[in-house]
Order: sequence, then structure tokens, then C-alpha cells
Amino acid sequence: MNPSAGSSQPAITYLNHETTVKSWLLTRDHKRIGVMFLVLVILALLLGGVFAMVLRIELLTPGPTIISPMTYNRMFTLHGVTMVWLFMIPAIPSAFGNFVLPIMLGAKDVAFPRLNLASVYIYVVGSALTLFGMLWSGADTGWTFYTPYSTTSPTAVTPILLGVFVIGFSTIITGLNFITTVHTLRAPGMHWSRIPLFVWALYGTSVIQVVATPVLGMVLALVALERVLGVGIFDPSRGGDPVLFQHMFWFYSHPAVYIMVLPAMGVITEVVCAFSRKNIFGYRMIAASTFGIAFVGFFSWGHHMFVSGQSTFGSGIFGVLSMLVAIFTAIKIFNWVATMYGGSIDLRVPLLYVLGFIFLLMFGGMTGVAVATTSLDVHWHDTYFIVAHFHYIMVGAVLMAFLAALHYWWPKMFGRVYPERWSFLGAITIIFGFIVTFLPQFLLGNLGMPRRYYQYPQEMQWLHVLSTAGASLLAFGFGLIAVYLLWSLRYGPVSAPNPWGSRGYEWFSGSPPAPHNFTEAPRFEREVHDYTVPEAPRVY
Amino acid sequence: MSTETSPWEEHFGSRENQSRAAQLGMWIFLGSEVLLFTNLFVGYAVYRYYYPEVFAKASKHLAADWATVQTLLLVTSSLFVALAVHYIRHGRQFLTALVLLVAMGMGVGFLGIKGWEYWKHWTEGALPGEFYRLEDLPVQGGSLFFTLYFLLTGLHAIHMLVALGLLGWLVFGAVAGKYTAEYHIPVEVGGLYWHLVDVFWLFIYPLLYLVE
Amino acid sequence: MAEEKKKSTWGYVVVWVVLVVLTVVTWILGTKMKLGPYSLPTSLGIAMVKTVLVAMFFMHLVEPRGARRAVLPVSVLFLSLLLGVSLLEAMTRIRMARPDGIQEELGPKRAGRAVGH
Repeated sequence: MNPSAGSSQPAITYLNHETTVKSWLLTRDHKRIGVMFLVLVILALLLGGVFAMVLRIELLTPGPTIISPMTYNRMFTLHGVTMVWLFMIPAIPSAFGNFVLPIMLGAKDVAFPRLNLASVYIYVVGSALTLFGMLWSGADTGWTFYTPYSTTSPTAVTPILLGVFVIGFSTIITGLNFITTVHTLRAPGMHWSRIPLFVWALYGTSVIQVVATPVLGMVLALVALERVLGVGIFDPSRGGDPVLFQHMFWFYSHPAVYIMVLPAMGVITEVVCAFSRKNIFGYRMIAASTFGIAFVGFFSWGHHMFVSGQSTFGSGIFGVLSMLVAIFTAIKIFNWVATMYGGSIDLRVPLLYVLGFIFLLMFGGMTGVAVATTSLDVHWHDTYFIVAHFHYIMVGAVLMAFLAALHYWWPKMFGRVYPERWSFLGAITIIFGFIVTFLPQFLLGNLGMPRRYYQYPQEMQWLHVLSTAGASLLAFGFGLIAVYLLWSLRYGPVSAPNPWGSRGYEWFSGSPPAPHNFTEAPRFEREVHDYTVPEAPRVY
Repeated sequence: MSTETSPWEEHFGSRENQSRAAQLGMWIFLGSEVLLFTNLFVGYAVYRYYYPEVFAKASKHLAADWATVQTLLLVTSSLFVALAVHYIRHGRQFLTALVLLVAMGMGVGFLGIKGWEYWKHWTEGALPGEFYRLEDLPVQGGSLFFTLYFLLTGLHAIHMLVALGLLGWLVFGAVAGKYTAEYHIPVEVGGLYWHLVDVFWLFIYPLLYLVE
Repeated sequence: MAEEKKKSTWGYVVVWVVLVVLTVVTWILGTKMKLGPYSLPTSLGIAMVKTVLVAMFFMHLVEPRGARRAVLPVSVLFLSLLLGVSLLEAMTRIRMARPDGIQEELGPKRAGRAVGH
């Protein structure tokens, strides 16, 4: 085989070299593990979406619509639990990170492949436990499990706590693996200043995962202990402090949103470079701002507790510190826009999602600074304004980045091309559907609509109806994407090794890649995303 | 491709790199363990601040002298584990197994004293959460102290058991000749875990037993 | 070779002796003497010295290659962050929001208070 630039494909790929079920279930291949995670998180997204639709349909009318209040409480709890822990946290790192990170570093696999496989099964066991809890009776505490209700609620809280506890280990293992891989398995010649920015994003994410997740595990275990054995530290009748739970919970759960957002931002950087055909503006600042976000994200958790009885002194400090993250986010947005400026824009679907991401991140981020202002949040707290704020980031930004990654790396992972027109329609539906769903929620919040409420005054109905209409559009958009992507697996045209002409390092391998990523040792002679030279990267 | 019989993995490129990776990986795991205990230390700090006299009185109920013995046991066991690593670096398999066994014995001694302490608390009613029955200390704060006591020492004891299992597995490996002067990564990283469990105790000891 | 080996094992034994001495000191200061407000910082300080000794010598952080060395300080940093800020917040709450303060606030001392029923 003579690998000439851009025209060779390995005949044997990671997909077809072994096809037994056992070869998948016992694989140590990071690519297969990434694919398994992709399937699992998409199932989780579907489940979380079903809960969301039930909520939105119930909220079509001011009074009861299709479910009882008790069921409603369970629905929003399970929606939160599923979306946060079963989808958002693992989505980009465990699915795309696992697939792409070693290839981007020129490595054959991650540092600990067997641990990587374990992380899949741990996730499955944790999810099964959580699902079991959902089916038993489902918790009604909200995904935030505040004490003392979570320690005394008659619903099945404990299995869900245990399920999330177990999933936490999967997260820690992934983080540990990625950090070690970046330190020890870079290809010769790959200096720290040449590492692709998606890898830097995953590195920052991994640090948060390793540091924050154990704190969550322990606090959930403490709630479970108090429920099951009566051995707890949050019971006021014994001198305990329920607000202490909130400190411990949010110390994880605020950095957790950066576990979600940082990999998303890494994807954006990759896609912006590829479709502007230009290297990133300010490589160092993007890398540094990643760690800036990771770091300051740990200092701001008390902004979730402004009205919990937290001291005004603490609230004031947390409010100011929370705003710092906007500085680093703004640096990134500036750099992405500066990269696109003067670049040769190729408006394909991944870039469309990126544009949606940047546009919506601005609203999500700026409303974040607004609610970080203690005196304002006293009014906005626990209203739909907050719900809209975080959905702008989680769905408007992170989920868009997930879809961008899915479309950007689809040919890399499966060697197929999806139909362009349908994918455009899908992207527009998603972006438009998102805005129709969540923009009304800002308005609802300002009108005073509380979150997690089953009933509301008549005057707010039109905004709720609008929001539900948008949610239906979103659901349709996801359905559309699922259909054409699945179609492409069987009937789509076979992809070239580098259909986008991207100079990202992962495109040096075949699409799909060979079982050990490269058929010969790759040489990364140029900076990543260097488009100043005419020839395409050689496929190894 | 790495053969089943060789412990060296091919994708690392070199043995030194594999050793580096294993050590870094274990250190990161140790870091996460520190964060696991963090919540308990935070709970301790906050409640000691709120109930200082109750905590001081409750601390007197504990056997500080025996806790000192426990500390000495753990510190000495750490010495033996460090020696184990040293010996296997020189390929002395028998000595490695021997000192590991001594360390394990000390760990068992530690747990034995702990078990005796727990039994003593059981008879007094100095128990966590709902089971608290001590008459001479108020429920508010007293119950919290003993809850934190059992949580901290209990979590620590669980880690001790895991660490003992780990050392036992290393003894097996040393006796079976699996570890040599060239390949002894498991002994190095297993030792690290043991030392961390020791370090946790170094803080738990003064915090629980020496409150004034 | 044998001498080199001996020197190395004696190094570990020296560290152990220091650890034992520090433990006994902690015990004496903690049980035989009354240090009042200094007892906590003293015992924690000694514990930290012992930890550094264990980490550097028993856990081989003295040996070269730096990435491992960053892990423990980073973890301790975040532990201190959660502990310090939570404690600070607990210390600055109004009386009514404290777990030990409720009794007083709602207790029988009502005479002269401007609080409504």
C-alpha cells in the first residue's frame, strides 16, 4: 500500500477487523469504547428528553393536564438526574474524547485501556441502578437532593443516589486516564505547545473531574447513609446544618458545569479552525483560558445558595468571584471570532452549530453574570430565568457542540458521509427550536414564574405554550438527525480519509482509523491546523 | 502485540514510560481519595466551630493513648512498606515478601484496636446518628461528634482493609516471583496507596482524639 | 553495592525515627499539656510535617520527575478551599441561620425584643 496524500484508506479498520460481540464487549480499543459511550449517552439523551416532553406537555395548561403533581415532581427530578449525570457529563469526553484524544496525540491508545473499558461498565451499572430507582418510584427531590427533604422523602431516593455515586467512578477513571495519557503517550516531537486545543480542553476537564467528583460521591453517600441508617450530619434535631449539604453538593456541581462546557469549547475550537481554514487566533490564550475557567469555576459555588441562609458576607464574595469566569469565556469567544475573521469560511453543518453555539453562549453567559449579582438573583432565584440561563448554556451551547462534534467526526468514526441538505435542515430546526423553547422562559422568569411548579397563573400560559411548541420542534429536529445519521451508516457514500480537508492531527489517520490508529508512526511536522501549506496531511 | 505472559504493554513505547504512567495514574487516584475524605473534614471543621465545648468533652471519651499506639503502628508499617519497595528494587523477593507481611501484621493490629474501640463505644452508647445514647453529652453536637468519628474512622478502616488486600496480593506476587528488580510497578504503586492511608490517619488522630 | 544498599535503608529508618518522635510529641502536647487555642494549629502543623516526610521519602517524591509532585498540593488546595470557605460562611451567618443559634432566637427570651410574634 502506498499511502499518498489524501487518497488512501486502511482496508482493515477498527470496525471490521473483529466483529464478534465478544470483541466489542471485551475491547481495549479506545475507539470502540468511544462508540459504545456514544450509543449509551444518546440513549440517555433520549430518556431525558422524554421526561422533558412530559414536563412541557403538562405545562401547556395552568392546571393539571396529563399527570399528577407528585408525578410532576418526579419528572423534573429524573429529567435533571438523567440529563446531568447520564448525558451531559460523559457526552463529549467519554464519547468523542475517548475516540479522538489518543489519535490527536499520535498514540495507539490511552494510558490504561483496561481501566477505560471498566469505565464503560461502571457507567452501565450506575445507570442501571439509577434506572431501577426511577422505575421503583422515582425521586421527587429535584436533581439537587437538598436536605432535609432528600433525607426524609418517601420516594426511592437511595437507589438513584447510589447510581450516581457509581457513575462518578466512571468519570474519575476517564479523567485519570486522559491526564496520564497526555503526560506519557504523546508522539515524539509533540511538544506541549503543539497539543491540539481539544486535548487541552479535555485535560482541563479531567482535572475538574478528578478533583470535584469524589466530593459529590461522598455527599450523596452521606445522604444515603442518613436515609438508610439514620447516620447523618445534616439533621437539625441533632445540631446538624442542612445548608452544609448545599456547600458540599455545589462544590462539585458548579465545576460540573465546566466539565460539560470545557470539552464543548474544545470542539468549537477544532471546528472553527477546520472550517475557517485557519489556525486558531491565540493558541496560548485559548489553552490558558481553559485552565482559567477550570480554576475559577471552583471558587463560585455559593452563587447557588444566595437565598439558602448563607451569610451575606459569603454571598457577596461568591457573587463577585462568579463573574470571573466570564473573562475567560469572553477571551475564547473573541479568539474564535478572530479566527473566523479573514479566514476562508466553508459553511458546513459543523460550523453552523458552532455559530449557534457562540450566539447562544453569549446570552447564556451574560445572563450568568446577571444572576451572579447577588441583589438581582434574590429575585431571579428559583424562577424560570435561572432555568432559561442554564439551558442556554447546557442545550444552546453544550448540546450544539455535541452535535457539531457528531457531524464533524461522523466520517472519521464511521467512514460515511451524511446527506448535506438534511443535516442543514436538522441544524436550523434545532437552533430555531431551541430559541422558541427557551427565550420565552426568560420572560416567564421575569414575570415571576417559579421553577419546579406544577401550576401557574393564567396570564403566563401563552409563554408556556410557546415553550412547549419549541420543545416539540427540538424533538422533531433530533428525530430528523437520528434518521439521516443512521441512514448514512448503511446507505451513505463512503467517506474520503479527510472529507473536510482539516489539518487537525486526528485527520492523519484513516476514516475510519486502523485498529491501532496508524499503520505507521505518524510525523507531526507542522503545527496543528496549519493551513498555510498547500498539501493535505498525509494519511498514515 | 504484548504477550499474555509479559507485564510490559506495547503501546507505552518503553518500560520506563509504563512505570511513569502507572505512578502518575496512582498519584492522581490518591489525589481523588483526598477529595473523598474532604467532606468529612469539612463537616468536622464546621461542627467543631459550632459546638467547641461538646467536641472537647466528647474527645475525652476516646482512648487517646491507644490511638497513639495506632499511629505508631501505622507509621512503622509505612517504614516496612517503604523497605519493601527498596528491597524489590534490588530484586530481593524474599525480603520484600517478609517486610510486607510485617506491615500487614501491623495493619491488622491497628484494626484490632479499632474494633475494640468500637465495641467500647457500643457499650457506652457513644454511637452515630440515631443510635446515640450517651447521657452526659448533649445530643446537639455530641451526636454529631460521634457520627463524624464513626464516618472518619470507618471510611479510613475500609481503606485499610482495601490496602491490606492490596499488600496481601503483593506478598503473593513477591513469593511467586512475579516481581523483579526490573519489573515491580505493582509494588511501587501498591505502596503508595498504603502510605496514603497512613497519611489520612496522621490527621484523623489529632482531630478526633486530641481536641481541647 | 552492599554499603549503598545499607545507606539507603538507614535513610528510611532515620525518617521513621523522626516520625515516631513527632508522634510522641503530638501525644504529649495533646494529652499532658494544655495548649488552649494553640492545640489545633500545633497538632495540625506536626501532622503536616509528618505528611511531607512520608510523601517525600516513603512515597519517593524526592526522586526526579515533577508531574507527580503537583498532585497532592493541588488536592490539598481544593480541600482547603471547600473547608475554608464553608467555615467562613458558617462563621458569618446571622444568629437565626446557625444550627446552634435557633434555640436562642426562638427561645423564651422575648421580653424587650422588637420581633413580631
